[in-house]
Amino acid sequence: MYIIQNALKNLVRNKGRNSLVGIITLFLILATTVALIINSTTKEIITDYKTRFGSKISFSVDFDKLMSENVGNQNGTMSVPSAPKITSEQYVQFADSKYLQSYQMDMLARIGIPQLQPVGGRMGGATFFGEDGEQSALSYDVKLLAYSDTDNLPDFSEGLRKIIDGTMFAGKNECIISSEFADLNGLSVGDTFSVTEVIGRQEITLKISGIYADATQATPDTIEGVIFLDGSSANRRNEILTVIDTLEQNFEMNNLAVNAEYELKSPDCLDSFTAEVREKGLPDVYIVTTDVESYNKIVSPVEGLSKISLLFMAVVLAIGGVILLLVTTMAIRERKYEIGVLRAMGMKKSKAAIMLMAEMVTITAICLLAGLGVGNALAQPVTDALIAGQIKTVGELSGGGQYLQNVQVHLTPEASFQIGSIALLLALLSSAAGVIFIAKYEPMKILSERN
Amino acid sequence: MGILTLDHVSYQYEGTRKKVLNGVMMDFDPGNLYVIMGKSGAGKSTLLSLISGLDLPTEGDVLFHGKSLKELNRDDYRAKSIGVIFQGYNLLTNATALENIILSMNISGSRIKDKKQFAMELLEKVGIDQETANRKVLKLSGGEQQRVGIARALSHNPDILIADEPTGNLDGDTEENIMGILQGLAHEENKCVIVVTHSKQVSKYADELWGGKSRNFGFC
Ligand SMILES: Nc1ncnc2c1ncn2[C@@H]1O[C@H](COP(=O)(O)OP(=O)(O)OP(=O)(O)O)[C@@H](O)[C@H]1O
Ligand SMILES: [Mg+2]
Repeated sequence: MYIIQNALKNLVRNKGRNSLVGIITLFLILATTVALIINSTTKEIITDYKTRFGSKISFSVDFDKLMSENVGNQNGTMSVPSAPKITSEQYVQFADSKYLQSYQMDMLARIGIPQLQPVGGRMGGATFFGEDGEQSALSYDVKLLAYSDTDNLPDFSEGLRKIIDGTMFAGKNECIISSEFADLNGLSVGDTFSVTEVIGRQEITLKISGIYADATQATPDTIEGVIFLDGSSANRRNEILTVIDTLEQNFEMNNLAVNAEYELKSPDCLDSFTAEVREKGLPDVYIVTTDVESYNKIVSPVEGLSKISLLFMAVVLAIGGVILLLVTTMAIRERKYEIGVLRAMGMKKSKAAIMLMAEMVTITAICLLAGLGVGNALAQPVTDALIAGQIKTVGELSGGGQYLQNVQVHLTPEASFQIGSIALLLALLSSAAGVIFIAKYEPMKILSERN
Repeated sequence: MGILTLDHVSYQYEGTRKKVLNGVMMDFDPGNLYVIMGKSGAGKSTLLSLISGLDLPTEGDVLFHGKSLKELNRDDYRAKSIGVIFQGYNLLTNATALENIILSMNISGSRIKDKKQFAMELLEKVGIDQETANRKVLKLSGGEQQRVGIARALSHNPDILIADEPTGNLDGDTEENIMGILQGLAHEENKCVIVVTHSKQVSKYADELWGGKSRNFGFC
């Protein structure tokens, strides 16, 4: 106990020596704090962008490959070969992957409603061409739509559609219909009606769980003077909404239209995901890509900042560490005598070392507190200045564009830990010369050399 | 065999060619005041350093109660069994006189409750008043520092007291006072007191006198 007390008294007794060590340590901790705050925040931002940005999957046709594979088919006429389609079933299968963070899928079944009337009248329905280029025109009355993300249904989240009676569908074969469609057919919540998928001809019965008011534009814009006989299926008041299960479990998957968006857990999963979807039958002519390019570009100033901050810290610590070591080694003359006296009085080597370290740890702790406070305040303006510089250089190199401009830095737990470790290291460094001295010499040598 | 025995003690400083001490044989008993005299540079301070366990002899042995210091814990020996008044005082110059005494008591593991009070009494005994006691050693005169050194050597009540020119910086009256205290410790408290000096005046207090022309005890 008296060891620590004496160490604390020594702080004041040896003001001159200690303030020099303190100033150097404070400066080092300050620089470290600013650098590490910037570094850890930018790392967070980069990881965040990586997961949000560089992970959206897209399948695109590799036209060079497509053409070369179809070279044999060329018979004088110039024709663009068509790529094999990714089937709806495959889209659903691709979604089941451990490399995905999330996916969004919507499905469409084209259905007929023989016992009911579509809004706007049955105008022969829309025609479309079936799968496999079989070119058989089929007509249908209305669209039965399903979305994987039922919490964020399009138009509902924007406020254009709203449930006004009953509730949102909850399970398989439940649906919601527009108020116009309900009024026209005299339907209300709890009623059932049957629909038929027009390609596979399966008939199912849907139960109305809710009715929505629809403020979306009913039909697509028409060009003046031209009448589109698109039929009732293009009228949005006729859209019947249900859960994915209703479509997936009742109908033949490949008779449905599927739209899917996948997001990887991280861009690094791209290769594994690609291998997986190839195995699941993705045709060779498709290439799987993520939006890494634009991610890289947006993030590049921040990445530069991250590197600069680390480099800055390394240089400052290296130079400062050497200065600290020099100063404490030079101050050893005074220390030497003190150590000699204490040892002559019978203080054990270990206690003398503890006393010296307690002194340095206290100085460092004070510097750590001050450094954290001031460093925290300085980090933001320094970041702003640095990022402006980075954007300028990157912009000159790549001809401008969109970048991350506002980087809000803050003291992360990771940075606090690192700063603490470096402070500890500095404390060890500044007591190193003294401790080595204590360990090495007998008090007689220390004292006789002075006297 | 006495409390302290020097058995063929030789010492050579690192990096020098000549032995400072060569085969010194001495025996010390409690209750006596020993005075060692010798020319400057003869090796008196070196000898006292070895007695106080600041280093080990290059040859021979220092025995405390018949046990070699090589086998004893010399930190404990210094802290508890021996009190040294150094020629160069060896006080912590940035601390006050009082703090120096209290620190020494702490190191020796002293059980005294009110260390401050005890230290102050000791300082008063050697003629240091309260104001002086609370001043940094740096700001004390040579004689005052010497007296603080004496108080420190007494602070942990050691069996052996060693004094290297303890009155070198003191006037005649103070010298008498200090030597009186040391003699009292030897005769009344049965301590073993060893004093090194140039002063004929001091040598008068000796129960046993070594060195000078009286006896050659191995100084080179
Ligand atoms: N650290 C050292 N390294 C080398 N030689 C030393 C060292 N300390 C002392 N000496 C030498 O050892 C010899 C004895 O020194 P010591 O201090 O013991 O003499 P002393 O008898 O106490 O003299 P004085 O009466 O002047 O105090 C001297 O010649 C001195 O120069
Ligand atoms: Mg001497």
